[in-house]
Amino acid sequence: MNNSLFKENRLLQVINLKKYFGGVKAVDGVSFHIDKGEKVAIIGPNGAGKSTLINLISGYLLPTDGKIIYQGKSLEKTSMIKRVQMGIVRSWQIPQLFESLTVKEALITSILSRNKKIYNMWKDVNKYMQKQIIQEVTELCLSFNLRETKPVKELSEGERKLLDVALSFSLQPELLLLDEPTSGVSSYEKFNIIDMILRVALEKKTTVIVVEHDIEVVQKYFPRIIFMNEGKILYDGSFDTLMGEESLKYLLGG
Amino acid sequence: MVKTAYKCLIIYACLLLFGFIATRHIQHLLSLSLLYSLVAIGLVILIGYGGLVSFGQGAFYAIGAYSVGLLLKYYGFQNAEILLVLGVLITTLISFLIGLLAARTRKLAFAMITVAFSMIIYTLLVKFYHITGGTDGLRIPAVKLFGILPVRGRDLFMSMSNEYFIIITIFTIILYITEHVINSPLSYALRAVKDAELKAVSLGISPTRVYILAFTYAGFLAGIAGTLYAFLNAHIDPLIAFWTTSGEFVFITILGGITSIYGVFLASILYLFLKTYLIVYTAYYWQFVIGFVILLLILLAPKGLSGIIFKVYIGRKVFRKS
Repeated sequence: MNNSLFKENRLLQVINLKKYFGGVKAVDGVSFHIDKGEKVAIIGPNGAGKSTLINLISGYLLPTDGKIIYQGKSLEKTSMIKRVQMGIVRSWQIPQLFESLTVKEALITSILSRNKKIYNMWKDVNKYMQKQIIQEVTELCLSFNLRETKPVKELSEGERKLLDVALSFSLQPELLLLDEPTSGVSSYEKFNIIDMILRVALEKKTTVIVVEHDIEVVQKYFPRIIFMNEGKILYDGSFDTLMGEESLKYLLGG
Repeated sequence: MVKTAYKCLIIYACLLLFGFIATRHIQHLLSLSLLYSLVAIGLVILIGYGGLVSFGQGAFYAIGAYSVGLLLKYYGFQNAEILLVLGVLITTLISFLIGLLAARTRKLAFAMITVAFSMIIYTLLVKFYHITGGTDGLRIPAVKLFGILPVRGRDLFMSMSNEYFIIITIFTIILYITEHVINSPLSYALRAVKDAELKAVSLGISPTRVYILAFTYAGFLAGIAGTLYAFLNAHIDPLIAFWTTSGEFVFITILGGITSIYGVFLASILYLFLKTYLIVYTAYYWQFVIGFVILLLILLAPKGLSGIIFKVYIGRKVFRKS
């Protein structure tokens, strides 16, 4: 706790976090901290515990042991919805989207949720359509290259990923956790997607943690890398020095 | 917004006009179908928008009706408007409480919880016969609305019966309100939760809260229908709480096309008229015919009446909306 007192730009601190599924130690004593505005990539082989870590920070799973301190507040028992309201927003590895809505409607649903108007059942949605909300939707669609009127079920795989991220950004998060935003799309599109995400994140001063598989993407875009294997952090630092670590080379696949 | 108001006014005018020319028997049948469509409109919200199939709406229908019956019998309320408000309030409160429990379950478990609830209500109504009158049910005297208009009778212009007039007026108001609910943020949240619950949670939408609200609203509508049913029918019995009544409501919703409130409005009229006249002509085979209609519908028009109308009206090529 002392650490977070004098570092005011510290956003997230994870202390000795553990998650066991029976005998499987998915996350096993992980500690790190993230400052405001940082862009961090978590990499590692399959089963390294990357997704579990995201699930723990976002509140989808509760830890077996350890602490998650977000803006000076301890989070272990906080529900996922509470954490979203506190500014921790996540996307999913396989985007589940609202198939019966259009892109615009989905974004408006999300913005209404942020404004805590989503449970109102007597007022027409159009009554909430102030200029700034419409503008916000247009801006998000523009920066993620989406067409507002398109039904969600007609989107391509890449567009679905982008809408998923756009929905997350529409909540104006402080900390954005993206679980493999580029999985399942062509390697050409990958750069594009990460590029868009980071551009918007920079603009909105959002802190981003991304789980990523593609080494080239990581090398190009992320100044800080957390390398995980078997539930533990093996390396935390810049990409260049990671390549220098002889002991990790075999895990990276050359 | 204005468009909705006009739509409702046109429907109201049509129903009103119909009341002047139709016989009392037809008016009674139409009133009953409007009550059925009120319950089914609640199911449109719940099934069509929320994806939860409730087999317990009959119970709320019965709670509404029995609230009126018991308040009349034991507390001597003689004002129809007070009975109406109290009946609806009681039903809404109970549906909220049941919603607290049921909204935590999904799919089959949800359907089972609602069936169980309606069977509990049915059993209570049958077994506490010294209070509820058991299977004999309760008689509802013709109390007066606002001290002037008896809830049953023929005190109005031409052949218009009082109960028909009251029911179409309330029905139109509810139709108007429901149009708003369908365009409200909550309806978007409902669709979001139905499509991708986990994503909705990660956008800060609580599925439980959304479902509780939708369930309460459906119960509210069933409550209105139930209280009006007590006034209309003059006699209520526990059979309306039996799960087959709930099944009828679900069937009407499917017949109408689960996402269209105008579809279920037509479907309930079709269903009740079909059922009534089938019983007249083939006393023993009406269920067979109804079953056959369901079969045809599922095979040929899975989107129900609204789907058929949409197909005919807009044409086959443009028909892509699901």
